[in-house]
Amino acid sequence: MKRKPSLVLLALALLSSALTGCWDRNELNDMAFILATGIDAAPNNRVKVSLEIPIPAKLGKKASGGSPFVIVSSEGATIRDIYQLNNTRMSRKVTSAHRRVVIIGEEMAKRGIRPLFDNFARVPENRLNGILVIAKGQASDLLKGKTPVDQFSWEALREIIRGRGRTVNNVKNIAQALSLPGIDPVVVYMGTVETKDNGPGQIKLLGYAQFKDDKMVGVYEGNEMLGIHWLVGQITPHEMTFALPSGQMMTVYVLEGATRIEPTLLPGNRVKFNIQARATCNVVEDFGELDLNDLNNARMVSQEIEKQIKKHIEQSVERMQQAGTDSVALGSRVNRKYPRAWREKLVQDWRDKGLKEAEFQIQTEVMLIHTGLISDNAAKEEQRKP
Amino acid sequence: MNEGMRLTHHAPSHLARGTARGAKSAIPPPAGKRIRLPALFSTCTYFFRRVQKLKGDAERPTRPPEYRQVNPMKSKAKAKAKASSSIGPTTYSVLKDLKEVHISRKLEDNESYLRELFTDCSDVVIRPFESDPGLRALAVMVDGLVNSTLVQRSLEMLMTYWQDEPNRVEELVERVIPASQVHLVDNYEDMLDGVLSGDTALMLEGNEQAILIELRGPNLRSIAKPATEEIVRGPQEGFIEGIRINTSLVRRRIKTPNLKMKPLKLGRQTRTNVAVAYVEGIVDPALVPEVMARLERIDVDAIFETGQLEEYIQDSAYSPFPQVQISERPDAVAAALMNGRIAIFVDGTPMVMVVPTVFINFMLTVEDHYERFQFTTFLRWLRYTFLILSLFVPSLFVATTTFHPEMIPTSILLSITAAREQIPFPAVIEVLIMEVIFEALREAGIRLPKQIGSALSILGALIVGQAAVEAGIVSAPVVIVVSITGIASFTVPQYNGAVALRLLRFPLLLLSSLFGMYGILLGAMLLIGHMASLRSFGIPYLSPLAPASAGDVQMTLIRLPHWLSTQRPSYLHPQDEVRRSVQVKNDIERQGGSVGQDSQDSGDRESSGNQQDSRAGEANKPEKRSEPSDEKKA
Repeated sequence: MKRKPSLVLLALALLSSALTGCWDRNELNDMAFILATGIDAAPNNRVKVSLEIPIPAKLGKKASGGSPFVIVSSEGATIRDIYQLNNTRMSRKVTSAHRRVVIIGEEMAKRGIRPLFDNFARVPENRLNGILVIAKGQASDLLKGKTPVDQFSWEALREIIRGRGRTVNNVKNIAQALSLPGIDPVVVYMGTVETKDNGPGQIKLLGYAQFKDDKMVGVYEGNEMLGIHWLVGQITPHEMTFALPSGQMMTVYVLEGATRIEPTLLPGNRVKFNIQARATCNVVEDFGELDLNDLNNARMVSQEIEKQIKKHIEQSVERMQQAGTDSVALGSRVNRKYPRAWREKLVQDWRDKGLKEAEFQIQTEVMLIHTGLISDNAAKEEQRKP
Repeated sequence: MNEGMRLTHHAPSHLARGTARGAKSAIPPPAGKRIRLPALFSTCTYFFRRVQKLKGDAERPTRPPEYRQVNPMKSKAKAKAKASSSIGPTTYSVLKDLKEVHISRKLEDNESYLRELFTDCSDVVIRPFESDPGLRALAVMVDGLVNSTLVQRSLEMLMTYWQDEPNRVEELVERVIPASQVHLVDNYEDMLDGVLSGDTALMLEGNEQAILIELRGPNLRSIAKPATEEIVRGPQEGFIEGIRINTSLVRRRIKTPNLKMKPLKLGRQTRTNVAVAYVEGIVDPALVPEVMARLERIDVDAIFETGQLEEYIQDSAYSPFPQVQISERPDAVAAALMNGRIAIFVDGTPMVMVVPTVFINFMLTVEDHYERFQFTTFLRWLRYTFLILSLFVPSLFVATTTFHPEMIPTSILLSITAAREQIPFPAVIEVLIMEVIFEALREAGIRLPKQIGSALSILGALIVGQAAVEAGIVSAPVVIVVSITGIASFTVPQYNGAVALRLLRFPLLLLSSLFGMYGILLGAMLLIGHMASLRSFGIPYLSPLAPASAGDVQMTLIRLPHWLSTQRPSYLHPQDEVRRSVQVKNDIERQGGSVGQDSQDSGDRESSGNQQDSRAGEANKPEKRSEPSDEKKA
């Protein structure tokens, strides 16, 4: 008798399970996972969305060859509108829960990327830690780009971006940068190039897209890209090749680095930025057979590296000032140090006046370690004694 | 009639016992109402009949004794017919009924009665002989149960014995019979009990007492490795079927009069010997009467295995979790006794039951205490991990693939998708098929003769595993999931501990297929709630984890070095909590090890003595004067 209420409850609980109808249940066989999305501008303020979707039958050991994924493109008014369209075309339920890469075409980026972020954050299945990429040209072309080693283009894109020495900006970070007045986002800029060995359409990292508010205005390429790393303070280990005054080439490995940016408010509401960059470097290749055991030579090399880093920083600052984009959050540094001046005088016209008129004083300091006391060039000619 | 009286007396007593035991027959005993008896008896005996049927025991009577109550006229008539020619009834339900039948002075009466009782019993030897000229005697024994060489020697002594006052059994016992265990009985119950247990009964003309000579036959099986609990390091002997050997195996390890073995006879027909062993001074004094009371209440016709007792004495009759531990290892039982637990031996089975048992007992082996403590700790965590895996892996697989694909890393998801591409079934059906096949393979593996075992493993591994995947009926990830589950369930050291988990996998699987992760969590909560509400002889089932006690938790999560764990598990409420010397612990802690003779201090004498007998020596602890200062420090 004591057991009865619990039995009734149990029976009810069991019966109620039959009512659920397994509402969220989806077999894997009925799902299509978006791995990467490309968003391009289409005429009439519409968007063209391309989805990279794997073909399960072409994966695994029974794969019958051919590309393991398919690109599905369609045009619509909003991103979800295109999903709706896709659902009428695709046999499987399309889900973006596994989307790690979002590519935005250059034209779309120039039109402004802020509207896109509504969908990114509103739909819970989207991952906010997906990487955002700006494509040179069409985003769909980048998705179709060739990746000699990887099976999927999205995987190659992601691995290239996450590789050493590159600032990773995911959807969340960029959304944050867009929402603050003192920061403009920088987004990885990639495109396809033609190589001699593998033909056209090879995916390549080109630099960083320069944004003014949510619109793309330019690209940081080459040295400017390195300068951005120094200014942002995300100095992951990377290698740097440069010419010594003698014309000989040398490659050093930047083991670690740190940047201090200190704004100072000058009279007349001008800002002066004091930038101090410190780096620890290894010599990894010395084409000039320089005797680095000689302290003078070592000092010369480290001064040369200092000059290089300074040059990189200067170049990227120059480009920033030119276009009036605060890509490395200089404004928010001023905000933090001089909140009142920032709020009352600087913020209104920061990009086009404050930043352009700002002064930069750049100091670099390099510590050269591992000059190769043991691992000298093995084929170096033995020095004759005088 | 005497017979009739006995029967009417007998019936209500059964009834009362039945109601006391079973919650099912909650109807108050209808005193005097004979009309309702048949129905009640049938409920009472239903279970026994089932057991009988299952066991297929040919020797047992086809009708349970109570059945005769339904038509008492017939049996009464039968009894009447026989009773006139004998000193007691020849039809009786259980041996206990013969308590009232005394051994007759007349040997012929005894002989004829015995011959009637043992009609058609070809294995019973009833041998009349003459001792002193004129002194007639009768030897009764069961062939095969007695040690015939020794019995023959005893009888030889009797046959050649000559004395003035030859017919006094006490004299005989004292002076003639060369067996050590001899006792006198005066009724048929005791005599037959002895004879059927392997004693030899001697009856002498003109005596109302019979001599029981305990010269029992050799064991059927020699002591071998315990098949279900093999270990690498440690003693390799296991219990066998004889209860005396089993108790002696424990006695060998705990040499103290404090090791008590309370005897008990269970089973109306089988009269199985049961021994309840505990160490006085360690065991919780309230526990022993409780165990005895629960055992004494059992009223069944047959007991063959501890498992039959288990279902009677456990606290929760309906729980899938075992609440007693079964062991085949004397050292494991001895260690449990030294922790303040109680062992129940049943004659005829090598499986010894240990109570009270908490869940964690199933996760530990006795070898844990023989291996190095770091390694044992690693092994324990491995077991805990795989315990959880064995329960949750299939349901996690189903939940993540059908409800939460975003939880699986992309590359793994893609390979799962690729593998599942051609599978016609939903994931849950696929997993269910494989799990059921696996359980079937396992069951078949136990039943299979050893010679065919390899064939089965080929069938199981190749056909089911590989071919099914090749044919696209099940996917490779599911085979992996089921294999992990299978392997994981074998990491639980105690076989009966893994049984509940094997079973509970399936409800969890269904829950996960209906509600995804939410269902798994729901199931896990119900499971933990149920486990937390269980008790084994009053000890919470999840102790020492759930009513957490710091010292005991340490002993569970990491195996402390022996010198460091100076206390017995407190959740068992041992009388004597201190297990090892605290002084030695302090010494070792201070010195970082046991240092030689140079560092003589007060604790050294005790420490050297203590290290020698790490486990067996614990027996001496209860009577040892455990210094009050030690206890305080601990």
